[in-house]
Amino acid sequence: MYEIGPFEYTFKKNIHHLSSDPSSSNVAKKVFSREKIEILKHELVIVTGPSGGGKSTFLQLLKGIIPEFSSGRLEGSILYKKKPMHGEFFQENLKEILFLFQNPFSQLIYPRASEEFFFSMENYNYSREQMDQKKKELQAYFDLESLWHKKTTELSHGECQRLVLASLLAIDPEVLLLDEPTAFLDPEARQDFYHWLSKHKGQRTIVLIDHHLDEILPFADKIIQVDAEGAVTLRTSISVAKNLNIPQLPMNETQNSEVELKIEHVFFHYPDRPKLLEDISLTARSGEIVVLKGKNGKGKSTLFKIMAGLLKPLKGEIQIAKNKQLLAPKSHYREMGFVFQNPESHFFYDTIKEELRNFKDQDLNRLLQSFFKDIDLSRSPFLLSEGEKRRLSILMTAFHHKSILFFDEPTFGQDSESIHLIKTIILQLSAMGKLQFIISHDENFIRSLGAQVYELVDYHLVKL
Amino acid sequence: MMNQKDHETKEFLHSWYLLLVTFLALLFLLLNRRLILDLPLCLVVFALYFKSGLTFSRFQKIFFYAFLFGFGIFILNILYPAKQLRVGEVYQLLQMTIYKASWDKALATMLRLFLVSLLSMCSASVIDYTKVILHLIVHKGLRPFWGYPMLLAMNSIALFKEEFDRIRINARLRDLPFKDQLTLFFPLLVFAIRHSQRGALSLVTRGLNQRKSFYYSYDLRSQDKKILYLFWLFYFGLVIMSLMTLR
Repeated sequence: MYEIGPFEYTFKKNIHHLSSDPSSSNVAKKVFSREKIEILKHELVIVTGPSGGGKSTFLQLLKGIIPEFSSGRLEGSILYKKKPMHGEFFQENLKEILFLFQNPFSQLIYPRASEEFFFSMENYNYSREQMDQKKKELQAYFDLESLWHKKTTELSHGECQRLVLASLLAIDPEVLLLDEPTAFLDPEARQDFYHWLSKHKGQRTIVLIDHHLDEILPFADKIIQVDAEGAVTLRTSISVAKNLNIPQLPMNETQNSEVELKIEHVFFHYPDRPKLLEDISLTARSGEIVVLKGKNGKGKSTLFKIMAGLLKPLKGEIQIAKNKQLLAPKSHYREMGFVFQNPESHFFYDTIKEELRNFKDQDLNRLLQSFFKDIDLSRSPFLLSEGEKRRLSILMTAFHHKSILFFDEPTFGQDSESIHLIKTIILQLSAMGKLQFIISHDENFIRSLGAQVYELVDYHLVKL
Repeated sequence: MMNQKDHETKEFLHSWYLLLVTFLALLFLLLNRRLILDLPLCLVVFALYFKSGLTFSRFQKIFFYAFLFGFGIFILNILYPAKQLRVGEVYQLLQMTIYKASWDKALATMLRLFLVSLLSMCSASVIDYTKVILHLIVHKGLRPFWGYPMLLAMNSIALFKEEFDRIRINARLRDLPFKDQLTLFFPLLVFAIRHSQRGALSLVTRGLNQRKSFYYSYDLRSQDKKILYLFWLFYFGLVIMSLMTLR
């Protein structure tokens, strides 16, 4: 079905390595394969590799978006049914190959979820009866009923991903290219998706990027690795990295002040929407790690925003005491750092160097070596890969001398090595006396933190 | 499951017709010379808006802004009247000379601007433009390659607002210097460009094409047609009365 390579796609230049080796500078960033890789009809292929290596770029090459809509240069060939992916064949392939992007919100077209679900089927001229039938089939796997009456702007990341994924799967494409389809899904929704995958394996060709390797590998017919250099190779097996050697981070100082955050009987719902949070109470102190989990759309991110003072509760209050002195609500933000789900919200300047200008040079070099393999500080932070953007946003927030830190899905889009790094950082920050709140769906990650775990169930916070 | 009927019968008057009513009303307000005829027209249009979901608290807010704008223009017209209005009867107010002709003209302008602003702002809060676009695509031949990008742009407004809030809050949490906080538009601009780029790609990769079917029909109901028909009668009555006074 696919005959990939040998090929070389060059898409960005002037990458400076952190090492002082002058020969390593001005190397063009590329994704390439020196061998021919075949993907056969109805195979399920997992694409894996470190974040920032070029997995998403590789997937876009398989769709033909690159080089059709890209300024990069492709040499060699990537053939689908013996024909190239771009040029006149791009339109031909549109119907057969569907693509799910990493950021689900960018794919929303309609204002209502009930309309959005049908969009893909409408484009392929399905009749209303066929569309109803498809909805029935996919309902159980993606819990569409709970989304049906919502506006698309009201959906959480996970709900949005579920909706777009269901909409794409409804048209039974010949090839499905999925870029991290489970990144924002809660464990239950993820299991439902894998169940769907196991049931439909062998009915269509599926190529997907997924960091939950433990769960996805049993389904795989082939594994393709895109390494940090962008080399695409076929692998027969892959080991999930464990006990990685992360250098000691420059975090030896300890926090002198003791902070305590207290949530007291908080109630909240958005205007004209059903209730979301009821009678939420919680107390946490310096050095503690509090993990919040729950199904998509249950109000985890909203509770975070309330705790951080970004939203006002309808009832109840948030108190922060520093060295047993209550702080005025207006000054709460001075103690807080927030890692948002969308890392691009963190960036203000033209270059990464400007974003990191508050760091001491010595600390910065050590941190950058731990966080990135290659990074050109003179580049725009907006041009990093999704995984790199996430790590940069964590770096900027975690080392900003704040005593309370909020992480909203810190492991999204990260490979196992990066997840290990993030875990190390969080544990070290905890040892320094920082109070940390984390939203995560990653069970392994949560277990490894040894944190207090809470779940939002039926509008209430339950300690597990 | 929400069926076709449930989906489309929630509004009192279809957004496409509300847009037509608004357009006609604005045209009348701008061209009509007899202010007294504006009042019944506005009453009817606002009644339609309230039935279509305009809340009283929102109306109050919009009323305040529209009044502020109209009053500002009134003051400017009084302070700086046109040359041909500086004639005839004169009043003294707070050591200012006010010509009666300029006062009358300023009052009429204020009222007209106030009504135009009030009407257009209220219409923006009740007309569902996505429904208008979809109606035009399904029934009026608007090409999907034009209509869907517009739809994408309309839906982005809420996302932009959310993103702007996040950026603003993040600037505060990062303790950015005040002058850097003034450049908040930069990340928002990047977000807008990237969102439009991804959205356009999404339209292409999800298979948008000229020959597509539609699950919902975005049809006009007989109730919509009846209301519009009655509005036409009323509107032409007003137009005839306005033309008669011109003679």
